[in-house]
This record gives sequence, structure tokens and C-alpha cells, in this order.
Amino acid sequence: MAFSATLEIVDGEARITLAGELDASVAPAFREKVEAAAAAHVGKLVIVMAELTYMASAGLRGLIFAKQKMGGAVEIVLVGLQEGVRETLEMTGFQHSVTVVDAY
Amino acid sequence: MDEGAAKREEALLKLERDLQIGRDIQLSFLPKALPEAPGWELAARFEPAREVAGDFYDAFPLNQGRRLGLVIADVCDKGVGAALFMALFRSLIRAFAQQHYSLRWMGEEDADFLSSPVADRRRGIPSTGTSALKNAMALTNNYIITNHGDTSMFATLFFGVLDPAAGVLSYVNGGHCPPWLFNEAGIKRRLTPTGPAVGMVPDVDFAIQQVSFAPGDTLLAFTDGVPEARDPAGAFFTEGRLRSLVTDPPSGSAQALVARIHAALTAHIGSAVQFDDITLLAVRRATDAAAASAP
Repeated sequence: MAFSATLEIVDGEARITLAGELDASVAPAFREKVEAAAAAHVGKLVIVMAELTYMASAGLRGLIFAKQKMGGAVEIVLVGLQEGVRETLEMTGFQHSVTVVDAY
Repeated sequence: MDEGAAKREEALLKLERDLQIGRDIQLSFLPKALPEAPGWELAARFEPAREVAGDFYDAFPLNQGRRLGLVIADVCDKGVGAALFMALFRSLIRAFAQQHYSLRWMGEEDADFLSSPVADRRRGIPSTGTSALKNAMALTNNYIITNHGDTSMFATLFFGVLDPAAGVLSYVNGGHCPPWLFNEAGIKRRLTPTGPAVGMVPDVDFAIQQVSFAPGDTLLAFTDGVPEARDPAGAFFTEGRLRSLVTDPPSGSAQALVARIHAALTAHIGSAVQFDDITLLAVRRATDAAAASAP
């Protein structure tokens, strides 16, 4: 599946829906959406990852970028991680920096 | 050649040149030769990805060879930036570790620790004596976050300090895929993370673990470019395949193991473009018979 990242802003929350594979070649597209979400000054960033089949380290870097860009007061919620993506998150220790849920 | 084609050609050449610079940086920061220790064999293999990435391995003596530092790491993302950060991570770890060892030897603390009751040992490593390990990781972590935090760069990094005389490896694993300790009976232990990736979380207290090598035991460290290597149809090599290579046939020399894995990876990748760096580091303790007959 080709990578896609779509952004919706609803009720002070930004929702980015990811699909396909997030690697170095498409990471800039993800970052663009994060920058747009930050510009909207939302209180929460929800990243729906149910359709994300693979995340390379460039994708994880994008998540760290999101955390920095949104600022400390904004909660970041990751939704519906597939097993491989969840393993990457837990192995690198990033799961403590975000909220991980199965459904939102 | 028309102007447009000439411009495109120039842009392509510049891109190739940048990639080559990145590759040269990366290669220049890998060890020229692996250190030696009686009764031990080290072997390593590095295959760069098509696009420059940031894997590295390192092996260096500490305290006049009484200890060996062993590192395997994977800097996030691709491009010349990853290669530059690879150089930075590798240098910081080496410099902080070597600096600390030149000031303080961990020998006495080791002996105290290893002669203490097993129950005490199981509670964890005392902070004295192994502080060089912790310091190198913590200082590197805070350096990256403080000085380069705005880049969001991090590295998964495994750093071990081997006492070749005692056969004991003390290590910190910062978010890196676990190295395996195994013998001909199978994998004895997976050296799982003891802290997060380096450069990701400020002020982390990385925990230290220890593992002992019995004669004939081998440690295999690798980066995720190994299990995630893809064939032309996109299928992963997988950890399961790597595991079967490691346990069957039973482990021979570290060099033979690394060569066998590399051959299987090459066959698997085939005509596909190699997407990620492939890095392997193997450390084997000779069997008693082999050690006894060594010159």
C-alpha cells in the first residue's frame, strides 16, 4: 500500500491518519502534517496507525519531531498500532513519551 | 546535450558525490582492525545500504586491553545527516569510555562483585566499577539531547565491556534489537534493552546487566537491517531465519558464522536494492581445548 498521511482538525484536536509504510522516503510528508497540526494550536494530537504496516527509524524520528513540535503541554496519542510498529516503539523505549491505545 | 539534460546530469553527479561523501564518512568511522584477546575471536561485517544510513559497530581496547569495548548501533533515518551522527555517536562513546577508564580501573570492584553472594548479584550491578559504561551512555545521551535535540536524531545503541580473562560482559542496551548469546544447544540469552534509544529521552539512568560466556559461547549483535532485509518480492529475511542460521549448523568460528549469515542475506536480497545497512558483530569464547592448544 502506498503511504498516505491525512490531517483533520476537529474540536481542538488534530487527527493524523497514517497508512502504508512510513520510511525515510515519505517521512517529510508526515512531518508536513505535524507542522500543520502544530500551527493549528490544538490541545491534543491523535495519530491513527491502524493501517500503518511498517515504520522505519525515520518514522520514529518523525514521532519525536511531533513531540517536540507540539510542545510539552500537548498529549500525543497513538491509536491501533500493528504488532511490528508496536515492537519498534517498545524496543526503542519511546512508548513512555506518548499515550498508546488500541482504539480512540 | 541540451541545457536541461546537462543541468540534470550535473544535479545527479552532485547527488552521487554527496552520497559518496556520506559513505566515506561512515566507513572512516568503522574500526580498521578488531582488537584481539587470547582465547577470544571477534568478527564483523558491514554492508552499506544503497542510500547512506547510519549503522556502525566498534570494538576497542580499554585499560591496556584488560577490557574490550564492544558497540553496535543504528542511527535513525538516512542520508548524510545519519552518517554525520554515526561519526558523532561513535566518537562520544569511545571518548567517554576511554577517558573514564584512564582514570579508574574496574578490576577491584569486579572481584568484589563476583565473590559476593548470588542473591546480591542478582539484585544488580553496583554502581562503582561499571560506572564507565553508565557514564559513556548517559553523557552521550545528554550531549546529543542538549546540543542536537532540535534534530530529533537518536541511535539505538548496545555498548558492552568485556572482561576477556573472566569471560564476563557488562552491558547497557539503549533500545537496540537484542544481541544473542548462544552455543550449539541454542540461544541462551537475548540481551534485551536496559534503557531507551540514545538521544531520545533526557537524563536517563541506563541500567547495566551482565552475562557470562562459557567456553564455546558466541555473542551475535546485529542491526535491524538484517531481519528486515527484503527480497525482490518485499518479503523480510526475519529473525526466525537468522535464528536458524545461528543454531543450525552449530556455531563454529565467529568468522564462519558472519560469512554464513552474509551469504544467506545476499541470496535473499538478490536483485532487490539493499534498503538498510547490514551490520554484524560476533564475539566467540574459545572452547577449553582450543584455548589450551593456542600458542
